[in-house]
Amino acid sequence: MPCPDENQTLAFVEGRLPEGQARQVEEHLDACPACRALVADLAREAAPGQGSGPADPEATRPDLGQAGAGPALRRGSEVGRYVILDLIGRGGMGEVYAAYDTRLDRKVALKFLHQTGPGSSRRLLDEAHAMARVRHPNAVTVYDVGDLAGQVFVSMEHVEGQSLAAWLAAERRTWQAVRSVFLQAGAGLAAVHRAGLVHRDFKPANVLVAADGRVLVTDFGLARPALGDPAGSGGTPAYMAPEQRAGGPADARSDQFAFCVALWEGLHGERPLQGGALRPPADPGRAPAWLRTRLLRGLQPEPAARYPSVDELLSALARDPRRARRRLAAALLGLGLLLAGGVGAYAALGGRPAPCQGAAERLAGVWDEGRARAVEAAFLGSGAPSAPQAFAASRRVLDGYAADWARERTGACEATRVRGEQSEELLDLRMQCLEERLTELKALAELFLAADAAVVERSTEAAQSLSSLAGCARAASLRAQVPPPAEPDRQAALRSLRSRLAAVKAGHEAGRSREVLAEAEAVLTGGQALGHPPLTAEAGYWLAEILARLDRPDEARAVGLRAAGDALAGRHLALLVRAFAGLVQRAGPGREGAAQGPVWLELARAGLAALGPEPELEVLLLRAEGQWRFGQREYRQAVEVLEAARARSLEVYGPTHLRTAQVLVNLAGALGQLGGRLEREIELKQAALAVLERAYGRAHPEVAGLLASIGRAYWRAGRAAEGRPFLEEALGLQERLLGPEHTQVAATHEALGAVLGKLGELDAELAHRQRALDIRAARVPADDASLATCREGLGLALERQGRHAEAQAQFERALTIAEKAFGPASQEVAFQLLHLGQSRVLQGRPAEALAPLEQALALRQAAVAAQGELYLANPHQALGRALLALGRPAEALEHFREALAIVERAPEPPAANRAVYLCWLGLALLALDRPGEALAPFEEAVRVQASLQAYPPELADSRFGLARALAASGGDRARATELAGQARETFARFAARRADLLAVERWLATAGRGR
Amino acid sequence: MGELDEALGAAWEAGARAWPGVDLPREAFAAWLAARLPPGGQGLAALAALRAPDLYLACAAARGDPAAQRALGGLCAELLRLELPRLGLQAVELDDLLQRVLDKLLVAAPGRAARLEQYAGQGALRSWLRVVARREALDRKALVVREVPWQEESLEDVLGALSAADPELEQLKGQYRQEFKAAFGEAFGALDARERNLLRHLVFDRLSMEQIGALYHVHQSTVSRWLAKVHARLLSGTLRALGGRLRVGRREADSILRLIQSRLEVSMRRLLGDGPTEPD
Repeated sequence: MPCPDENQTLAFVEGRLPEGQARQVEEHLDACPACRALVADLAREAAPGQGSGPADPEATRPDLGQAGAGPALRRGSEVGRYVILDLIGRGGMGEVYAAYDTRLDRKVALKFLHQTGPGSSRRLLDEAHAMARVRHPNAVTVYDVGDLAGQVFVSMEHVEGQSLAAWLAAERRTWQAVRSVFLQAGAGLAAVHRAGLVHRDFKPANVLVAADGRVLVTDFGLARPALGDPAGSGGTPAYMAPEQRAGGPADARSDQFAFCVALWEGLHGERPLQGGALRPPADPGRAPAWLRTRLLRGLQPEPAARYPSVDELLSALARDPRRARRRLAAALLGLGLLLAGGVGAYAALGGRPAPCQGAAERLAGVWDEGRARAVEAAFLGSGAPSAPQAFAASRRVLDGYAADWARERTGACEATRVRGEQSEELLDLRMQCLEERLTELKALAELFLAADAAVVERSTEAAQSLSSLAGCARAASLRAQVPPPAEPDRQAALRSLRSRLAAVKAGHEAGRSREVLAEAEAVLTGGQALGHPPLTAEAGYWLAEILARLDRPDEARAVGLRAAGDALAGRHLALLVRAFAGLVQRAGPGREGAAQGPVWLELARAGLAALGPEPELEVLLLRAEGQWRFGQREYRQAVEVLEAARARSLEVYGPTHLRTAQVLVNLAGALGQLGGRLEREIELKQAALAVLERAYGRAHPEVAGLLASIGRAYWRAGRAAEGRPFLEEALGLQERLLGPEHTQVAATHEALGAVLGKLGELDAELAHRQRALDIRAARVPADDASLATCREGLGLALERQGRHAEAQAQFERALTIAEKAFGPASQEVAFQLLHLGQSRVLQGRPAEALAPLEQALALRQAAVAAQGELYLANPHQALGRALLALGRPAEALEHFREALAIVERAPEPPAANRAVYLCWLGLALLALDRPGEALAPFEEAVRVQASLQAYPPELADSRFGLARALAASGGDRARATELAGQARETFARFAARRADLLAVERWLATAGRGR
Repeated sequence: MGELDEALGAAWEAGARAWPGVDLPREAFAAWLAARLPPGGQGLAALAALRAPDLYLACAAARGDPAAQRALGGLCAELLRLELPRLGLQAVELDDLLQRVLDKLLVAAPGRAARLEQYAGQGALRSWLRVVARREALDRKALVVREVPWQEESLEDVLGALSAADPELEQLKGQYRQEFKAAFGEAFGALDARERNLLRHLVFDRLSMEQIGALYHVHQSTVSRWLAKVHARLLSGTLRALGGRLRVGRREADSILRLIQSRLEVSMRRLLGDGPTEPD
């Protein structure tokens, strides 16, 4: 046979040749390499997903701008952990390859994104990370995002099937079938919007109809204006909303418009608009009029006239006025679940067999609409003030988890049964893992059904703590674990223990640690008797967590270590990492923690490295390390580690997850200790507060705790007045929610006392401080570390009252405690030495102050690397004051200058401290008889302190200093007298400043006579 | 007739929308379409299957519309550019090649009509042009398309592709080169045309399972089953043939066969990459 002609070749590739002719062509291809290569090229061009139905003008028009020829990456080439299989698509945004993920043992679609200009890769990466947060059964899952050889890539779910465009073109569908597919695509689009993304290019070619009937939106958030694109919008003109066509910003409502164009086209076979004007369909009988009417609202040229959101559009489209309203309820309730179940229903509609159905059935009675309603009733009946928010937030999480579970289960099954990419053995492991997750979900739902106020208060956290489903897709780690016993009776025992453990875990996460303690111990004992180390390890891990929560750290440590051992024996690496992370997190502030922390940390890291990428565990470990370093007062490292934890957590969990909020709080705390970054610290805490409030409302202990910590941050930055309302609200909430004797109440008393002291309300300060000490002292031994700072605060309050001897006694006790608890070279000791020295100066014993102050300075200098130099300023200032009191003003001046230089180098100089140092600098200059030079520092100190509403005696110090400098340098006498008068009034109100009051009066008397 | 008329009108409108700058009277296009419809009563159904925008462009270009000819030229240039590297042609040859393709497409010669008139509108114009462009480029390269018996071109290459992935197999092949080649050739020759083509599509053309599936209009799982069968037949055929040829002792032959079997197995699996195997 001669070579087939053009039409014949094409007909062969497109399957239009009769069998006999096709055989002839095949025989020819066997002998003609040139024709075979040509046929192969044509087959490549007609790759799936390109849409081969009636020609779409956009698709037919030659893409002359595309310079690329063959695929840039060859089959078999390795890109990072991926092996390239085929080029499956190429478009304006980049190339898409089918690839094999060697690490996670699955087939993926790998999309390399074109950069649109210099610096665009960062933005692409950001957007790709946002895409990765979209988790919905109707949106293609993004697995991984990265940067390879300078090109941003996204790895995502590989979907076997065709585009919606091809599906629509393949045959004429009923309007019900078209609507059903679009409702699913719309649910995916709505999920994209909920993640804060705009699709920008929604069209049938960007929706996939999988071989199993699933409908998935893809390419969301990626379309962008191409260089030289006349419309400048990045979308496809035929589907573009007027505002997008005009080059304006696209938003969710522009996507809604595109969706309506596409659905209209799907229903009628033609587009609704021509030249911007609506065109009635040629064959209106293809779809009901009410459906068109509802689409018209989404097609309004004015975005504000469309539906407020795609969700509302979808419910309007789902509501068939001709039918009973029963369908509406079904369509709106448990959307995720329904869609997961709808996969099977749809597959039946499309006439394809669906061997992997049944996920939705498994969820029935575990988490379904009935359960959700019962849980809602239980929450509202608990009387917890946060019940409505808590239910809404928990429900969101559990609905999402259930939908993800259904999808994972279907996906796992299909990988083996439909696509044949996965062995039966791996399928078994994944299914077992998923069954364990379902047990967890069941246990949590049951706990929620019997929720009391305490459970409600932690419900969202408990819901978000359900074990990650992604872990069930990680082949290597599943395979590594010691397999479960083969004997049926032991298997049954294992299942029963697992289900009891799930209840323990749910109870603990929901704050019922005390109640589940005995059961946790029983499960551990049962696990040991069964002799299945992976289970023993998990039981031990949770027992350790429970013991730690119950303030039994020594037992927690012992049990936790044992759990790590069992994890190793059971080759349960994920649990090994968790167990060590728990140990690190709780290693504590003391010397023991300093010695053990690094060892456990190293072991946890090794486990993580052996396990491969486990983003959830990475966050867990980074956070644990941050908390441990914080406890060790290594604030700089803590900030670094926690910044990394924050970045990772944002990727893994997103900004509104409680885990992210926890990391934000830890990070803010470390920043606060590091000092000088108040705005960022407060910003982080406010962000965390918003997450917590969203989950629980205001009346929640953690909300109260965060309010208190914002108050403390303001106080540390010298902005006491701003901190006060936060602390007062926190104290009120905590006394109500936790009881008046709680240690957190004590801590808030301390902070509020400090703020009030700063504001000059000294009696109130002393009362709060004393209350704090009483609460703490009743709960812990006399030499407990927590009493050191408490006594320190009380000493400072006494000092401000002028009760110096009592103050010194508190500082000395604090020093003794600190030396024992933290070690003689610890920073805690430096604090107490500093206070002791200052107290001696104030008591007129400056010579005795020099030794402790110099020691404090030396201790702090040794820790500059970890803490930053800001901590050096106060010891310099205190030494300066001692030296000034000893009549050595020249040396004092150097210390004040150093203190000033240090605060001024800080990124956010602490204004209040700086003003005090300026005042002392002026005083040293006065003592050196250089009043002219003292003017500027005093003026600045007065200005700052007046604007900050600083501690009034400090402002009085500066005013009196300025008065003397003015008088001595021949300045404005009247102003000097006025300033001194103001200072006198202030000092008169503070008993501790009696000596200063006398000095001002003496000076005024002298100055009044003139000099 | 009214319905058909309306459908012709709609096709013309679709074409006009797709090619806004191209001028083509409605009647001319209707006549062009009518000439490409099969005789008999199924005109309407046949019309629906045609690619109206593609035919619109072809018709306008054939009638001499400059905008249509420019668009056609652009499309051909793009397709020819794809052919250059494959055939080792230089970029400077593109213009000449393009001119020849356009001549062939647009100009009638004594005894034959302009090639574009043969475009039936059933497949995409782009694909159709690709066939024309490839043939023209091959002619240019003076690679006369000829039939060759499979032994001449493929055996070495198939074998090469298999063993390139595996140094040990390479060594074995070197050691028993003649025997191996003959045995493999015997097994390959025993396959039928489709089986050989499948293997070539996979090895040389680097088509994916999906693409091969699309070519044969079967699901890729079917392709994967076919290939598994080809693999098994090739392997057993090679071993059988080799067993008869190796002039070594029985035990040595057994161990060589076992080794070859395992290595060939691995190579094939690697080649069938996304087949029903699972790397550990």
